[in-house]
Amino acid sequence: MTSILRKAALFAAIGLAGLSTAVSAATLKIGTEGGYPPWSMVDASGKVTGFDADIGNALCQRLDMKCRFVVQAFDSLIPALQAERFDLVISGMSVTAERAKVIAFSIPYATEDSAFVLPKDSPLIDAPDQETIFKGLEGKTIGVQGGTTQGAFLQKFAPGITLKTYETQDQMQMDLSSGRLDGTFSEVTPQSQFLKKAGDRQFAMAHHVIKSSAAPEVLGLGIGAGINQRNVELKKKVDAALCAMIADGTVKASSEKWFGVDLSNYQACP
Amino acid sequence: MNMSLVDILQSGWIGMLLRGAGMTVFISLCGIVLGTAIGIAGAAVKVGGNRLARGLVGLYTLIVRSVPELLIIYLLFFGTVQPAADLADYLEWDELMSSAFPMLIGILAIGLISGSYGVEVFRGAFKAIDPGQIEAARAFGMSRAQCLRRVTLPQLLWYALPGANNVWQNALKDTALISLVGLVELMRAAVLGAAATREPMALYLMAGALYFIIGLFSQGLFVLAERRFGHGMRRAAA
Repeated sequence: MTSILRKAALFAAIGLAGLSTAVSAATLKIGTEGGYPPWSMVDASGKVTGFDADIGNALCQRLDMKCRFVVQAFDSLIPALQAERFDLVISGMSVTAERAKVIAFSIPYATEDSAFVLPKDSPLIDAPDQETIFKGLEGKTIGVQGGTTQGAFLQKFAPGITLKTYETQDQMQMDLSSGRLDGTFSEVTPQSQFLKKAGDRQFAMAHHVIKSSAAPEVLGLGIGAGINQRNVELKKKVDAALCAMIADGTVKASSEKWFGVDLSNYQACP
Repeated sequence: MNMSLVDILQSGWIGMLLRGAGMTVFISLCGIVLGTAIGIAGAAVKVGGNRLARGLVGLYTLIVRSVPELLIIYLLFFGTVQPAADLADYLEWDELMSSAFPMLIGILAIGLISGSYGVEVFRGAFKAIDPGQIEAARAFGMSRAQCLRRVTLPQLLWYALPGANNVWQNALKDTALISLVGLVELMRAAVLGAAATREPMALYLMAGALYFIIGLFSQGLFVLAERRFGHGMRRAAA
């Protein structure tokens, strides 16, 4: 009798152990903002969608793991990654020297330029370079999203501009629409989405687009996945998988689906 | 270009907001139960405890009430996320931990915050009970426990109701702060919906209306409770 019980207990223990290791080893937890379309957003059923969701899902498929997205405010993503609440951050995050001090990054799988949105009649729309724009905006109030590279860039190169920091893109854009801002500075894709929705009547994008390569030390080297610095093994696997995804056109296909342009960073891999 | 209200209603975000509202109510209720327990225990210590215990309770209410609620939530979350992850790893409860953790932190935070205000509310209620009644009860031969159950607690709850109502309404709104650490409650659902539909005003107005309805409903419950527990009590204003 006791031996039957013991056997049963043994089987149960083996079964449980097998089950739990199977689940935990195969899950890749990905932190993302969920409020930054079309990079990262959540649909009405709570499912994470957008360009970064595609990248994450394709990555999991290549690594033969199960994806689980954790949605959190952008500002809290890096501290939570450091505390190992998730394995990766995939949230349109620019690779910067500042951030690289505290977390590791994958290869930058995409690159994106930044641009000002200004009143349609502003002479700065046709300004030939960034110096002219900065000079023209001296003393004006420009909106940026908190914790972004664009804010850091203006702080460093255009100290004459008064910055107003917002939690989300739509709060910033609402303030612009209601006339409390003289312009906004953000990545090209959310800016053009805003213009598309606002109907282009009042605002336009400055023709001079600011490339990340203009100031990689603040604007970053492109968009990468954040990885805990202790997790060297994962970085190797993620880098290899992302390079393969750039090479076989997976990144290109998702980018064209969400942005209408190819943001793949072909220089990232040897 | 703009979505009409009908489009938003049909897009399913109402369901997401309602689920968020359910989470808000759940977190608030669990938090306030914890907070009430802390409040009554803390008040009992402040009224009848020794000097050391009184000092400790005083320190707790002083710290929690003078630090912003958001900071308390951040400290609790980022202060415990690493040990919690280690514990979950050890117990192999990874799946459970990842989804339940922000919820536990939320309940703990709301409990600690509402508890710190609750201590003063219940201390006031203790003080409002005429000491003569307790002396009389003891003189009749009631034990301390009987006296607590039959004389002190029924009156305590009634005297504490107006203040407890304030604490509850604040707890309800403090849950919005937990959205920042990844819990999808009403506020977070509205933020996500605002980004996805690009109709922030509509989503925030709907969330505001839901908070208002929850507040209105709980206000009604408090009015009923004041009537119910008020039987045989003198009216506060009269």
